[in-house]
Amino acid sequence: MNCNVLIVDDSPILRSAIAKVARLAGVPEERIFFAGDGAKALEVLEKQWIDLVLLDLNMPVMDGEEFARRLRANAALADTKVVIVSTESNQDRLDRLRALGISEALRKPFQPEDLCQILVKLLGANPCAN
Amino acid sequence: MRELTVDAVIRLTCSALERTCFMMAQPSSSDDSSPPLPKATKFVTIAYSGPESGTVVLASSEGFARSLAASLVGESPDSLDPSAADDALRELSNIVAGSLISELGGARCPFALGLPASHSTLPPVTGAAAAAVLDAESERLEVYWLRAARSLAA
Repeated sequence: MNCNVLIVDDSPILRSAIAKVARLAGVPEERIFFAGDGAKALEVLEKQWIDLVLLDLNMPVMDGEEFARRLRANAALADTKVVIVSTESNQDRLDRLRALGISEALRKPFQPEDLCQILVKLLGANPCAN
Repeated sequence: MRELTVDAVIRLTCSALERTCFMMAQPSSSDDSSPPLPKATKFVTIAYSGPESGTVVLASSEGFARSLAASLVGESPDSLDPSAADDALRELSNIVAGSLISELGGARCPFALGLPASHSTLPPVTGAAAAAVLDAESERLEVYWLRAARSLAA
């Protein structure tokens, strides 16, 4: 599957865990990119075509909401698919993100199969058979 | 605003462990015949704010934090970087606190979470509104929910 996925999360171990599920869903290892905050994620996007961003919200330096706002304001990147992967339950914040066109959200705690299904739905990745 | 019981703290913590990394936990037995759990040596806090504010504190044994890290990435505890245990415990605090404020806030949750922080000693937990000691695969995990004052607007 020829899709590039960017995992944005301030927890290195969660980035690894999410990457593992992405690989199981059929995303090749070399097509998985990482960033520890929103600012680093924008740097990756400037250099690398990304099909889907898996975005945490509560992060230091630049949080996920600010990242999403800047992404949508950039004409070259505005159409990038984004899925929120976060503990976020604040409805005002989720409403603001929906207004930016980000309606897909996976709430922690999630099971690997939940993330796998979203990857399959958005990227047409191979189902997690095991 | 809803109340959180000890049972709710236990249920939500166990669910977070099971759903995230297939770890099983149960309330620690008060039966004196049970072998004692290891002491907690790792500590994390995460604050929340909104109509009222508070803090969730996690305290765990070294072995629990290492097992948690290993379960999250599906690797052997011995193969992991030492910092992975602290990172995993911070992530668990984020997930547990997220579940607690969602339960506390209901359908239109008005709370916002801060960032988790590691500590070398147990922060003050006297007067916790709810406290739970869990046996997670013969390792120790303690969860404390501390409430601060409600805002005048609440």
